[in-house]
Amino acid sequence: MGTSGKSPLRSALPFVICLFLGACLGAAWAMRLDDEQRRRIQKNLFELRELPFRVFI
Amino acid sequence: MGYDYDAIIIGAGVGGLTAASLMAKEGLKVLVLERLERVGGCCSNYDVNGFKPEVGAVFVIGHELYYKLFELLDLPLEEYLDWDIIDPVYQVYFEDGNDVALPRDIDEMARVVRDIAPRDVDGYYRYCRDLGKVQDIITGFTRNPMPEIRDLTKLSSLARLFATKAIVPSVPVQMKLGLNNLEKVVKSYFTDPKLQLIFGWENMYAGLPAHRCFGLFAMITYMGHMGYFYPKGGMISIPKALARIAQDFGAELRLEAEVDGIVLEGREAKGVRMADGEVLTARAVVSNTHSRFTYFNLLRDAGLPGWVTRTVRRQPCSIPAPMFYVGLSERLDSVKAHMSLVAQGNEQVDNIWTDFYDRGLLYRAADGMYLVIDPSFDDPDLAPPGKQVLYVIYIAPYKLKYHDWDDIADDWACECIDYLDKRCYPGLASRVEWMDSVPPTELERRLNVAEGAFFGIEMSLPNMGPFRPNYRSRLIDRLYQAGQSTNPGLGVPGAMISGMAVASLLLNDWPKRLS
Repeated sequence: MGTSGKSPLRSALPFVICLFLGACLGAAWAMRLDDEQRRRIQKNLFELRELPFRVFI
Repeated sequence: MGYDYDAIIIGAGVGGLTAASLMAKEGLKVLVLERLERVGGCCSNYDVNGFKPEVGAVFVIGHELYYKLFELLDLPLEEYLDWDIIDPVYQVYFEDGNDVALPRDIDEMARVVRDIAPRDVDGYYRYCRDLGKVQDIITGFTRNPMPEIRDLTKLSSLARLFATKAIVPSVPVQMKLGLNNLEKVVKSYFTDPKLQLIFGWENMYAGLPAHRCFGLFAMITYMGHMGYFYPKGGMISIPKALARIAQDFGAELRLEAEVDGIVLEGREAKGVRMADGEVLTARAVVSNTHSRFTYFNLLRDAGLPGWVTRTVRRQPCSIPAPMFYVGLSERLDSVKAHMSLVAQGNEQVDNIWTDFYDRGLLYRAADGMYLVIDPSFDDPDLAPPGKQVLYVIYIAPYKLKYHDWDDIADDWACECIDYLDKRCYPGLASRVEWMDSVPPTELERRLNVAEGAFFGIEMSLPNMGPFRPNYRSRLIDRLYQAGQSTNPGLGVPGAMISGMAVASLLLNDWPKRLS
């Protein structure tokens, strides 16, 4: 099996940076939400979690 | 094992009676059990000194569905139901003190739109054209054979539906109604706030704020052009007709018969246990009750896994519509239609919904929004001669943050009456002869409607289609579920479709699964 010569950490770096930037952007976005928007998102996440169970009722 | 009945139906609501009549017609030995002394559940009325207010449902929408049902029953609808078309569809009282009657005819309605906002007339015709296309699909859908109604949630059925002619030209409209909320849909046709209110308040029926309500609900207002109907004798005439048909086909109906629980053998329904201890066996049990009542009361001994009760408990109910009924000693001429909307400004309506929905706040009577129904407007026999019965619905949460409904319901109703007297019905307060206030807690007690939400489980996307309780229970064999809790939900047509679907499913299961 050939090797590229790059360390695994180095080849994963772009991905890690994207992930980090995404997390930062997401956090910045979440900080700007008002109470109403937060409630809506919480409710939607709750509904999403419940969906698989509802199918069996 | 010998069974007492082929099918036992718990609850003589519209869904249960529809299923009973269809199954009895096919020769099944059917028993319908009803806890109350009358049929209908949320589609009924009761009599106090000649005043007969509606309990829940207030008009017939989608009348083609009724013709479809009677076609399946091989019976002429006219012999069982006598209804009048409601025109004007309703009266709207605006915040600025003006009011307007909304006619059924599209061109007459266009004139009303022109009077309010001439710039929105084109938008109104576009609205009619677009929603008319969806109406064509609904019309075609109600004419489809029953298995397609039953298979509403199946992909193969949807694929077949998409192959029908009416679907293709209306795909952009369907996307618009399906992907946007009601608020956005209405704003795409109307710029004037009053027109946005007139065409966008139907979310009240879903018990959801307009911004969380499926855009398809815009169809309810449009369907007013197809006709809202009101049966002679009130809405209870519909379940009464269905009960008569079921009995004519040989079904047995027991009123004031309270069911204590469903009898199980392992995970198989074998019948019901009555409150007096009598056990009745059946090959299949149909629960036409709210899913919470089914799982928490009727199946309390089933030993269901914890996730089942958790899921049922967490499935949200629509916002309840607390209500009160009043009998008036003399008719009020200021009531000009079967239904009237006493509205607030759009911003206030948004606040009401947000505060009710998210914060459990009860507004002052003067800040609320009301739907006033006068059953005696179309049928004077629903009140004693010269008198009038009104039924007032308003929007408020089930759990109040600072109050208890049972403590404040009467005072609150009086406050609302005073407000309505001042705002649009002068003389109302002084003519009240009889009053019955029914907060959500009381409705829950009277009709076993979870959280007093007579619109049933919330009609939001995560609670529709496959995410509502199934027609055929996946947890208990031989148990079927009908009514507003199941698909498609919401109102008498929804209950009727569920009854047709359950009957079809049960009859299909008959030879193999239920022998």
